[in-house]
Amino acid sequence: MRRAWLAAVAVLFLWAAPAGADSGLIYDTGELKPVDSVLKVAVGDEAPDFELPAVGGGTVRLSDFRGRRNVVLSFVPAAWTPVCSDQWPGYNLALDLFKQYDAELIGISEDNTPSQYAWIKEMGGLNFTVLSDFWPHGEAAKQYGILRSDGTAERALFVIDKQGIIRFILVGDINRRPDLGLLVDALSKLPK
Amino acid sequence: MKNVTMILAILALLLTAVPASADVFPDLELRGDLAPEQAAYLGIEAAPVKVSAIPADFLLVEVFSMYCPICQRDAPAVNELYKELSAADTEGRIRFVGLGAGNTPFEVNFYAKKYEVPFPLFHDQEFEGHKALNNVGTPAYYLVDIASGREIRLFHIGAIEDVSAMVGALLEAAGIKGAE
Repeated sequence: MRRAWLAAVAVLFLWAAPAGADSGLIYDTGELKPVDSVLKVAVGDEAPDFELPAVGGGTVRLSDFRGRRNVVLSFVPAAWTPVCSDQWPGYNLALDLFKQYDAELIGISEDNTPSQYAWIKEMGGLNFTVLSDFWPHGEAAKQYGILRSDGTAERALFVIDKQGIIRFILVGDINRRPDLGLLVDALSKLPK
Repeated sequence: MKNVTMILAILALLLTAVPASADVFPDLELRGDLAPEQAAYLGIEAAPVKVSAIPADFLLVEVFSMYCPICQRDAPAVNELYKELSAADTEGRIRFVGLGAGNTPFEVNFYAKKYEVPFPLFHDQEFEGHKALNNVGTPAYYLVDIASGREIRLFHIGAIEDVSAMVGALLEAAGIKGAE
């Protein structure tokens, strides 16, 4: 066993580097109530429109994608929290899958833009649009019925087709990451 | 003074990076869809398979996640580690696998394809293995001595900064003389 410890020490000296979960900047929320809101939209409904500020500058209006691209809305509860801080880097890796189905990925949280900016930097950058639903607080999330009682959003996914119609909804357990496979399956079923 | 500083540095590193390791690696059931050549590499018929049932002297386990930015950035280095380790371990005593913490089969397959991972990857969709490893941060590496009852011979957490040096440390920890 002593040998194993020595090996561990040697390895740590040679390659010590922080693991993502150990960066010390992520706030541990503990186990939360899985879902804390009542959905206001259903598959087949027209997606409620919104216009929100983007981290990259300017604003983005959902309806601007109508007739042009499918859209995936990924609402996450809050910046600097454990599950959210790996869900979006995973989607960033999978952007080719979204492109394959002519889908624009839009991430939304209830944080303000400066907070989102710092968080995205910490995650190593994201190559998709991130919008702030901070003010008026939670207006977009409220329209979809996914604003929780503490002002955060549910961990929710909406797939919206080029006609602006909602084709897939997943409001999952806030404590768990949704399976990327379910989202890709929904994208694969969109009208060509 | 230098010695005191060195000891404090060692203690700090151990406190921050080692507590996730255990003396004995849990006898996890590894689940996944293996290609025939991957099953042959491990010397098994198919998955699921228990760690203890893999007929190798040592198993190097990388705990990763498709969603972990460090794992993503480090994936090419990990592939290089596999390549260099395989070349140096001429008798094939160390086998290399990955365990996708909290990753579904779709996510593990996507990761394997995206980075052309050459070694077998298993999924740990319900975090069972991850919990058994005290929710270790990712990426983490365990060199498991299967023959000695799964004693952990080496533990490393975080990015691999120097692949060749890590290969040397792995061979040293396994008591294997590398290829000349």
